[in-house]
Amino acid sequence: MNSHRVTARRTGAALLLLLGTLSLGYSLLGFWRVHQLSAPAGDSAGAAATPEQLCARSVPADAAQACLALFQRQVQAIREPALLAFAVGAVGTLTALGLLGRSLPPRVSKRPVKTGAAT
Amino acid sequence: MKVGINYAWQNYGWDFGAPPLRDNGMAWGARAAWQSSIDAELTELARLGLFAVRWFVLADGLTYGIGSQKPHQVASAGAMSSPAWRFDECPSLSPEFLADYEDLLRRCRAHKLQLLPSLIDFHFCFAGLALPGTSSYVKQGRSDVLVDAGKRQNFLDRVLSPLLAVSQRYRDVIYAFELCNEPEWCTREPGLSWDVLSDKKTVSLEAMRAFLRAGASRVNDAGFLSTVGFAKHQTLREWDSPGLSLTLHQFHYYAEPEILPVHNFDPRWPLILGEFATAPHRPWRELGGSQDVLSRLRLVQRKGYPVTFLWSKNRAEESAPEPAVSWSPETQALVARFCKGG
Repeated sequence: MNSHRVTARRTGAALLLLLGTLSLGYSLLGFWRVHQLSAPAGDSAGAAATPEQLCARSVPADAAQACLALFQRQVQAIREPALLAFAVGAVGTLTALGLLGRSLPPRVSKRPVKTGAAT
Repeated sequence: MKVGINYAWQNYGWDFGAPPLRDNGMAWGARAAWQSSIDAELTELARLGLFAVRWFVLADGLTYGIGSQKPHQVASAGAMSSPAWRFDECPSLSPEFLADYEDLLRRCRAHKLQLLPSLIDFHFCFAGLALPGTSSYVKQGRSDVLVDAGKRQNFLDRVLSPLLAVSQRYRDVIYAFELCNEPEWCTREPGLSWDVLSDKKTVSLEAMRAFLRAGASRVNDAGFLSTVGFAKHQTLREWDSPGLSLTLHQFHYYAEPEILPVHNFDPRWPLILGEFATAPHRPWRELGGSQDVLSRLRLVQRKGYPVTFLWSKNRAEESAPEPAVSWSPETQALVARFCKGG
């Protein structure tokens, strides 16, 4: 393999690794946002209310259900791109690592080579 | 030690003024629905020996700013950005709202109970929650009131000052006036943190402190004790509660920290415990395996607090996954025993 092709492969792999890492970062942010949207605000009596409880507090049942459905759609709108970004990021990162591994020169063993039986 | 109770609402966000209307024109329920039962309830609370009720006035703001004045969402910069909710105008309270508030004060006076009104709950500042089918109303989404200096001023002029003006006619009834319940949950701490991406932490600490300080100044000028219901004891120090011009310091205790701090404030500007669980909830370490509302009240008294408020008499909250409320006849009997010196 000539050195030009090796350099091109390494550059491509590095770019893929960067994109994969960014996608994984984006997906992690998305999952964190889904978590913080759905989790209670704190641990006091008032803050421990879930979105279901907040939508339902002193609200007629049908309006509470509509409020919750809307909230769940908002969560879904964050979760879906995060899942997609996770898949893209994982595939991209693993592929890049594979390409980088193959473009490295073969490892030279430092062990002394046995040349024959001891005399 | 005097004991009060968190009422804390009959209809969260619509206890005062006109009730929310569905798009078909039907009301969610009766205006100020508490009026039909409040006399009996206050009679009972006074009989138990309680001295005051704490009540959420605007709560999450549901009926404050409706129709064209309701909070609205503006396009966010990207999928990762928190959606921004704008609240463009700070309307005045309706005459009906103020009339219902005055009616509550009148009834408290008749039953020789004091009132601790809590102006806004921290949910007021969370990202808005739309209500399909009741499309003129939005829960929450009103952080602009605290964040924008001009809107903050308008809010204090058009909401706080009129409430204080009504309250001045019932000076003996007002125990203190609270500006915000548990503001920590909607406040971003300064510095680099995940809070900037949160839909809940919509108010900077600087803006929150400015709101609390300005509000406390008005409450003090009206001749009332000013307070904020901090969720944590450590906030009193970290946010400099005395530096906010508050004249009655307050925190809530749900077994965190493990040891209930001792009261060590100047008696002229004391510290009160504004909420603690009447249900077993999370056990208090100092009380061991067997504890109830009576042993908790006795501990709070031993720690030197002059006043505490029970959470709460709202039995609808007893069905929560981890209920902090127990207002059963047994709990009431224990509270009465404490209040009568038992």
